[in-house]
Amino acid sequence: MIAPHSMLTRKLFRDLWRLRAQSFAIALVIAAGVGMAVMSFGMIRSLEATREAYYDRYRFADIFAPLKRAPESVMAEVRAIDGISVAESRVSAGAILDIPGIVEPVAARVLALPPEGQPSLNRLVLRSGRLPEPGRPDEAVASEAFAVAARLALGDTFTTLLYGKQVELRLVGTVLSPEYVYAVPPGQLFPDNRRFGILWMNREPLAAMLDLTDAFDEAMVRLEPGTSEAEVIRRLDLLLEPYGGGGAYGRDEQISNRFVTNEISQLRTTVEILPPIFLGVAAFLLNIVLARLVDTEREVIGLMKAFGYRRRDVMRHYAGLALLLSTGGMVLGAVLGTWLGRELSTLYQRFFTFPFLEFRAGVDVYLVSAGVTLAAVLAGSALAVRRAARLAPAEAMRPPLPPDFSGRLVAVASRLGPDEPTRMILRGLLRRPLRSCLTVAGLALALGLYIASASATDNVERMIDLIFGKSQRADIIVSFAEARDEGALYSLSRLPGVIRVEPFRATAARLIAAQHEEREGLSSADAGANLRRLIDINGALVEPPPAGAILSRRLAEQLEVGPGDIVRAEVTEGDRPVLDIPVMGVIESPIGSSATIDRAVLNRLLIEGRSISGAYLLVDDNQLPALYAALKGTPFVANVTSFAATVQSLRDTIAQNMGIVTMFNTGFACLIVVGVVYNSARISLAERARDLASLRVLGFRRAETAFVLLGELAILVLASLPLGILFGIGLSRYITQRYSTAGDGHADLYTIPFGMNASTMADGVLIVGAAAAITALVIRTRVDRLDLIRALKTRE
Amino acid sequence: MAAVYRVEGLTKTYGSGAGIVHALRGVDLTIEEGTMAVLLGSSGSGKSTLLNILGGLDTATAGQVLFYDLDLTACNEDQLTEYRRQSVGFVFQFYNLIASLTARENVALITEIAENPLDPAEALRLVGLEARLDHFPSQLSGGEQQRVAIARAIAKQPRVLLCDEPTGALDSATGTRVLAAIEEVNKALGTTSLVITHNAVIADMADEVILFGDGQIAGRRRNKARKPVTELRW
Ligand SMILES: Nc1ncnc2c1ncn2[C@@H]1O[C@H](COP(=O)(O)OP(=O)(O)OP(=O)(O)O)[C@@H](O)[C@H]1O
Ligand SMILES: [Mg+2]
Repeated sequence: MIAPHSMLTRKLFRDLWRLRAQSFAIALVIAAGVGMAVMSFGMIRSLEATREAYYDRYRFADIFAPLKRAPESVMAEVRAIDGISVAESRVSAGAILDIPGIVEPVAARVLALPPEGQPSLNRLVLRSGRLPEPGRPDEAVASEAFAVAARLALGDTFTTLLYGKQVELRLVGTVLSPEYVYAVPPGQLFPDNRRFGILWMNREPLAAMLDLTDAFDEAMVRLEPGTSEAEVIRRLDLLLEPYGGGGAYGRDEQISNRFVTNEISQLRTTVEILPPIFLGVAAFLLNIVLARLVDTEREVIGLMKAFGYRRRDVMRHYAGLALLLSTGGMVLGAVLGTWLGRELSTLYQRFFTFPFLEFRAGVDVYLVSAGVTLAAVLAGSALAVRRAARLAPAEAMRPPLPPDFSGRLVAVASRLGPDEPTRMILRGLLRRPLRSCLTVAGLALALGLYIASASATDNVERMIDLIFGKSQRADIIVSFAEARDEGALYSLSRLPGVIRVEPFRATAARLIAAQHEEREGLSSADAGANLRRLIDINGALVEPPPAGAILSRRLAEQLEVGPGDIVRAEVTEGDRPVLDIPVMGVIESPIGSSATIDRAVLNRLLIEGRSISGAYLLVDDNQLPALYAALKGTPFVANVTSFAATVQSLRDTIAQNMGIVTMFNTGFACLIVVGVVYNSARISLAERARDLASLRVLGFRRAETAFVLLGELAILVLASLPLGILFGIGLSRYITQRYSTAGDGHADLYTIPFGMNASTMADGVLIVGAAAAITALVIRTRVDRLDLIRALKTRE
Repeated sequence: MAAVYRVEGLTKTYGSGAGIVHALRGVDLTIEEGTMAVLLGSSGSGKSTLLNILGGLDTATAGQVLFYDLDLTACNEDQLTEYRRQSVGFVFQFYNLIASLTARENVALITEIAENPLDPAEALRLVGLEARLDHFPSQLSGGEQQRVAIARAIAKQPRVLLCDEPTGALDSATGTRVLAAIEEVNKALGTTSLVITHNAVIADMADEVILFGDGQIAGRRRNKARKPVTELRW
């Protein structure tokens, strides 16, 4: 395409060298776009490939069917269902661990291992030690992340409270499981490896403790290829219904897998938003730089044509320049993207425990990113290249007239502006309205980008405040193995350090409306409660109605019901009553999906006395160790969730991780601002060098002269601020919405409350302003060094 | 009469070593107040260099230039700027108008920063452009643009008017009109004027003709009587 030794090639490289600062700015913006694309696409690719390989190799189940208790013989019937290739049963239970060195009780999920060691579904990746030996009731393996966080070493023993029974378990190995890639405690959003762990032990002793000998409480199956999952679920539900089952679900509802899916869909959102912004800005910058070059080279182009160069030679020349200009950016972007991808996968390994997670983008990702960039580059340079090609030789040879400022739009500005320099600024801007607008748009994009990314952190902070400040205000939640009389509250309130106790009632149920069905518990709320309150996304308190239920928006949408409709609840515990409950209201809640009923009403519906399932505790921090010790010894307590340290660790985790993302985006925003401001100013400077030098000759001081150039920039930057803020708000709203909607079409995991902090917007304005000001200073030194005499020697 | 400029041993070199160019090689010159002087000389003889130094656009390599009591060779950039701002009017071969300002505004650009300016419209009337006040440079002919440049130069009532080939880009009839404007200003306001030209005919309009050659003054002559510009033909 480019002949290596021609004079044109030489010119190409001299032009490139002359434009090096501008080329560099453009290359950086392109690099940011390509980098984001490579990183996000590559990470999506890596996550999906890793997940698939992991699930496949370790035989992650397709369907999970929890139930209460079924004899092992039922498994034969399960295996008989068409389309099932492997089925396995197991027993499992929640437990409380007493880990030396951790004062608070640690919650755990204990799962059974079959006599042969490795289960045939959800196989374990052994990371250290060994699996429990057959016949050893006291041996257990733990999830690696938990063992590390809880500082458990192989051979350590710890007390485990299982259904009111205490056992000593000894750690013999650490493992990973495809079931717990993202090990999040029930009802929470972030892993808490110190206070939530997964244990596996031999089935026989576990079943004995749970009173499930020769029985199981969960069936898992893997499907034959091509089988309808929905059909198998339906048949499983039918089969297991009498055993307290009926709530089988697929991978799409498996909690760990959902978080992984959610993460992938968030990455997709990133790819949709960021690279297009960067490539758009890069195309715009190329456009103005090339247009200016063609303008100044009219005579050269005319000369080339007069001497017989063809149109396409001219086009090739300028398009080649554009491509050379962008190649550096692409290469840099590919390197940057690969590096960011590696960093990101390291970051992911803190949350997602894959046995391996290697960032591999694949050649096609690089090729596609390069292709899209090339398209943007060519689009950006097309106008200028075409203008160069179209220039008639004679016209190109004629010296240009002074640029025309007599247009109508420009004339309007005549009346504006107190003095001549101001008029020069205004008319300069109005003479090229498109470029001015695009410059404003570029700056607005940068500001918006910053605001949106910084407010993502604000929004999560807001969510934490909402959940822990307004709704979930207990320090500790205690749940009982089964419902008890309200009298249990009294014994709780007598435990050391307990300041306040509030009861709750919760029961598992299947909610049915028309053809829709959801496994979702019914939970209680108390009017006037303090430690746990029903709130909506805006933080407004919702009091439980005197009859009926309040549904979260997610649940209401799943069931396709609204206020006034009736939902049937098939309770799956106790006498298994079937209740018809009117929907009294639907609220947007920040987390989870739920049906909430006044506690007294729920007791009445369940035809029971004043039963409770557990209690919320407000406690005196100083007495926590004593309280924990007491709770660990209270037999009817099945689970203790402690929030004492959660909020702070949550904030730290978020601050750390969101901090990295925000830092990157701040850098990117600055990059755009510098790129846009620098290029615009350089072009203006080139176009106005003669005017500015003339001003200097005529006795204008350096500051007065710089005012004409920088004033123009200042106006562009100022104009971009309100637009950028609006764009930032819009972008933030869009991202918030996208992040709250899981990609799989199922009920979302959480809703991020949307809001804007004035300080975040102010930060954005400051950052854009500072980046612009620094760039302006650099340009200003050029105004000071204008060559006065040269401006007099030459025409325009 | 007081001397506006007193130049002694003015030297200007560009570059160094083998590539050194001696643009001015020791110029001594005095210009009296109110004089209309023409600087004649072949291309490359150093006329523009001298004018630029007199106008505070360029600095000398050696020698001294006094503007009244002000030693221009001792001034820094900012002082030169103030000197240009207060005392000098420039007219150039390529007009150097600001394209985004109308004729009137180009003049107002200067009157805004001057201490005792003419009204822009008045200055434009002086050069015969009262009818084109609100036209942009792109709507004016070359001669008209040059006359705007003259109006701009004289509107602040400068002590000196420095013109570097003001008619260089113009035909004879238009050139005559431009020179007439300069002559008018010199007469009406008594502005000391220095005009560079290649054109020997133009020298007849001056009080004093300075002949330039190879960076030095090759000769000076005083015209006994200035020829009115309207009688010049080339
Ligand atoms: N920036 C520069 N660098 C090197 N040499 C220069 C520079 N400016 C002027 N010269 C040289 O100085 C000499 C005098 O230049 P100057 O512009 O004063 O000539 P002039 O008499 O005005 O010529 P003309 O009538 O062609 O305008 C010339 O030989 C020129 O080449
Ligand atoms: Mg000259």
